[in-house]
Amino acid sequence: MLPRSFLVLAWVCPLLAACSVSEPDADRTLKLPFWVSDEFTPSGYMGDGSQDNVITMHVDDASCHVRPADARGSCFRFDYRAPATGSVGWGGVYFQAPPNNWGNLPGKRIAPGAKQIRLKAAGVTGTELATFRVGGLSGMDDSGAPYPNADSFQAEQSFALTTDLAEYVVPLPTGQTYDRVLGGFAWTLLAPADQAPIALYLDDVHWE
Amino acid sequence: MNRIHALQLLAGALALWSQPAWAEGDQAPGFLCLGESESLMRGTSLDEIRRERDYRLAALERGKVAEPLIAHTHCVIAELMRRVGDARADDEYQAAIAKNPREPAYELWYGRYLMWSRGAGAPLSESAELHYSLALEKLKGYQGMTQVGSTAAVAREWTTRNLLSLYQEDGLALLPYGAKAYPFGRTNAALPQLSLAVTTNVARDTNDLWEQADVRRFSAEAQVARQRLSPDPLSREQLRAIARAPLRYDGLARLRLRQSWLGVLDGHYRQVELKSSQITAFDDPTRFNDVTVKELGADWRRTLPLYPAFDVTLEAGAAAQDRTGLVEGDPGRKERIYIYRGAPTVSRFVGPDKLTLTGAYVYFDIQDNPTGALDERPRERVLRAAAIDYAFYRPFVLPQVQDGTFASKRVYTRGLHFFATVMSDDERFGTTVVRKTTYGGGSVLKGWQGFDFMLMGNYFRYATEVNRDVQPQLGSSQWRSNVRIMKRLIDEEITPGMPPSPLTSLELVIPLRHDLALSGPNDYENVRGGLELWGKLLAPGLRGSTFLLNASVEAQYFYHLDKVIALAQVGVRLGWPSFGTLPAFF
Repeated sequence: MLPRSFLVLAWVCPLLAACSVSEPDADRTLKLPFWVSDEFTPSGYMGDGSQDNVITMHVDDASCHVRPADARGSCFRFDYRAPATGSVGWGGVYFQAPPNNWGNLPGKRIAPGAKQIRLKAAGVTGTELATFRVGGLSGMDDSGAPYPNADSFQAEQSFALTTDLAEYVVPLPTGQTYDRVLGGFAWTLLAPADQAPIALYLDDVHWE
Repeated sequence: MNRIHALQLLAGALALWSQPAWAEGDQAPGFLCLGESESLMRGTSLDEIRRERDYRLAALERGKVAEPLIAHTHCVIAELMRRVGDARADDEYQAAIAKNPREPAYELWYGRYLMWSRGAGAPLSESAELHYSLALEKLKGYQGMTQVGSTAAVAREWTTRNLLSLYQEDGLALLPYGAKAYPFGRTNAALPQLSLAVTTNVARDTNDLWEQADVRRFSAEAQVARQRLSPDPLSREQLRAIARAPLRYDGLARLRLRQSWLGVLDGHYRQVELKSSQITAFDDPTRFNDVTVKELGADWRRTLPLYPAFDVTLEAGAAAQDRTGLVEGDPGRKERIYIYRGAPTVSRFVGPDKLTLTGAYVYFDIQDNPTGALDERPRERVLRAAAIDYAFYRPFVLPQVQDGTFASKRVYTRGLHFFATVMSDDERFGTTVVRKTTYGGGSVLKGWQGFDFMLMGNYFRYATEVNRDVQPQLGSSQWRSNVRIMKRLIDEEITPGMPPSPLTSLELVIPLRHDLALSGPNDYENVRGGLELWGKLLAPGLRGSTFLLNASVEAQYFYHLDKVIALAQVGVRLGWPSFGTLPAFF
């Protein structure tokens, strides 16, 4: 909407529904390949991450690992410092659609035919044990009843990371359809026994 | 008999006494018009006033009016027409002026008509000031000008008083010459004036800048927090913490250019600081961060007399606003928002009554989020509002207490208003659209025995859509009942000339209200009441600047949470914002 058209709109718009905010496209189907950070939000903090300041996220800034020339989407650095008391031994973050959605809202429709998730990752110490997951997101409301929406599939793989950015692949189940995906991607790290700070670099995470 | 009428009659009598007979060819004095028309309208019905009007119109048409009284008769007809809402009053004032162009009082009466009776939501300032200026011009060198109590001196004083009222919201006149500034030494209405307004306000209030419906806001915040903390429920302490009254400092400086064909053009800077106002992250609704809003903007307003159709007031503005503290989880992040707003108001007489329609459209061009999923980045907000006001200005038979007696009399009030409003405020946060809708309706009786009484109801609705799906767990509705009783302790309109004291107006207001939940959480149902005091100080030594002062104390009780919040507000304004047709929460 341009300011120059504003004077006209100002006089005709007070009662017209057409002059309201633009609407999101609810029926969009994501075409393959797509980059996870363009479609899902890293809002689902889990494990120790549900406590304040245990997991800190940096996006598209100098904290990222040196990016490969062909990397797309956003790059991330997640710092994880397990709490001295009350640690559950792991922490992680779900990339959700819409943000903070644990099943109370439907997720995103993804075109059929996806075979795998491909990403680049590294650890800051080279001792990080990471699990990368797709789907598998479900939750319950405050009465204990399951939310009306949940992912109908789950795929995950665990890796020992090095300090060099390396490529990892998580295969998806064959024949699976993706009508409403809530958790487009997730990572978890095991907390070190000595609770020393660790970190995860992520880049170029995409479905293909 | 109230004081204004007494003064007007006295002025009429003065005119007759000071010039009991006029030579053939001379014209009847202008104050005679006011005295005669006031006496004709006192206690008479509208039909009787119309008959008096028609009788005089017929006499003029038949040439039965003596030459010295022709201008006077046009003026009396105009005054009668003013009372019955006959828009031909314009022609009659102009005819009186044309017939007796030396008479300043006719310019004064015409200016008063344009200022107090005409206009759409605002006086026809540009038209009125022209005639006030002509009145002052004609008074120059007028015989008796320096004689205390002479009609010329009274006309000068009344004109001056009306001009002071017309420009009171402008603030302190800056340009050195006397145009549009007390004592109005330059009388060319086309000369521009530059004014400075400075306002400050300190408040502790549950309403914030963006949401006057605190009950709706608290309910919505509790719902978001409940969803975020699920499956854990919100504790009573968390619910109580959400009901809060942050300290708010609000300051504004405005430069105003006023010119007769341009209207008013304002440039302003506003800064608002809210302490511990915003929930930092909804997974802990007991932690709050400060909010800062800085706004640089420009507004324009012009009134246009378009009778026989209607009067129009056009308002438009644009502002750049920097907000810090409103992004969840990132209290240090600054958002830049460009705001464009427009508000047309039209008004016309319906018999003696007046119908006013107002529309408003505000578009908030908000920076998209720089990171996150692509469809979660778009940010946008649109506010639309419409209002209708029907004001009865016809006389009513109302009980009157006067001189120790109690009786029902036909009296003119300052209007019995019935009004209805609708406002939608839609904001997009990526795939989420939050819609706040407010319907209002009520009535105000103004000026009965020095009191104003207002009864008003509001229906508030809050709805959240994610990808166009309505989320029932993130929606609510409330009903608000409002009563406001205002007593004018010092009524500025009673004194038509310069006020006897710098404190020209003092009003005591008792506001009472109750918020009831209709759907969604009922935790924030509350009752609220207190006292407000409003005063105006006129400073002739400061080029006629007017200060508006206000102070209030209130208490709000959230009875389901057993929480009482003390509220207070103090404000000092030298000049004040005139973008009055929109809620002041941008």
